[in-house]
Amino acid sequence: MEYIVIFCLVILFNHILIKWLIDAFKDEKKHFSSTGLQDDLEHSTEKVINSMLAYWKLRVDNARSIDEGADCLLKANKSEQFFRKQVADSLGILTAREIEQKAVQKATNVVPLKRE
Amino acid sequence: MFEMFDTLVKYLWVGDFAALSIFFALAIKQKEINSSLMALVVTTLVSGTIIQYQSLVNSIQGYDTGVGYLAGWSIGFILFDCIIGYIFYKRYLSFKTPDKPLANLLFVACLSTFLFCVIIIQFSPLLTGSEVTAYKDWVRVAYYLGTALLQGCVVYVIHQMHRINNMQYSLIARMYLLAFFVAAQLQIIRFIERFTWDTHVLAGIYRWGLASINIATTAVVLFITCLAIYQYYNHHKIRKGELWNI
Repeated sequence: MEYIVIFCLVILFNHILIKWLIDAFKDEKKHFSSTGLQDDLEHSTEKVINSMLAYWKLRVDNARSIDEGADCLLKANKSEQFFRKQVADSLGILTAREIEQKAVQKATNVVPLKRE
Repeated sequence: MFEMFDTLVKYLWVGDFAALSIFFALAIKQKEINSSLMALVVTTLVSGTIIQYQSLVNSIQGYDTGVGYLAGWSIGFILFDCIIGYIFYKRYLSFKTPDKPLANLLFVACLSTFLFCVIIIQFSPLLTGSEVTAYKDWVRVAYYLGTALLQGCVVYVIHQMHRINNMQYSLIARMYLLAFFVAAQLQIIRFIERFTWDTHVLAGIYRWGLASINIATTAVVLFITCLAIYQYYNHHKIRKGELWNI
């Protein structure tokens, strides 16, 4: 009986350890950081940009004139570019042109200026 | 031959401590606790606990021969290591960059772990000299399976730390995982041998195996430390973020 219990415990122990070992030796392709900095930064930047765009969208929707709305849109675009550049500088992944293109694309898609 | 190996193993802590100090210094300069340093700290603390635990079991075993007072020493140090490990675990999860007090605390903890282990190792001939037959089975269970469990803990803690912090495994971390896994297997095999047949056929494999693992890991750690220093002083030639993936 003792032998069976010990045998089962050893099998269980090794099963768990081998699972963790396989996890460790899996070849994960994280190119730019060893600490998950890239994922964290991108995630937090996405959150900041989303909330910022929501804020500017509100400002655009509530603008009293076309000029004011356009001004808000410009500010949103600039802020987004700024944040993306910060991340890109930290990680060194995107070129300035790519950021600009993405920022413009996103700003034009997300914030429509429709005033009746 | 084994005596020479044994003497070498007793002084391996010097190499480990040197590597740890250099990785601490580099981490403070880089403002980042990297995978290698984390693995080194975890293995230092848990290895210290393992040595103290084995001494504790031996001193309980040799209580009648008058070395039982060493149990207090070991228990005290195991508690100290547990508290430090808890603080490290809690603080490290909330602080990605090493703040000065945490780094200092860890460094002092690792230093004291090394020193206390060096002191207790001096008593090891006293501790292993006797064998009380009344608790023989329990002592074997506690010694071998307890050690294997603690070595499994190293694998668990390193795995958890990497998973929670979304960290890529460094070479040192992977090497320690493998080394502690193999060491745990040696403990289990030796335990099964002594528990079921009570022979000493695998005693040589056990002793030589553990000594070889200790020497090999320290040699690799020292080599990687040299690489890390080289990378630190030539960081301009290396792509950003790849500095610590060694």
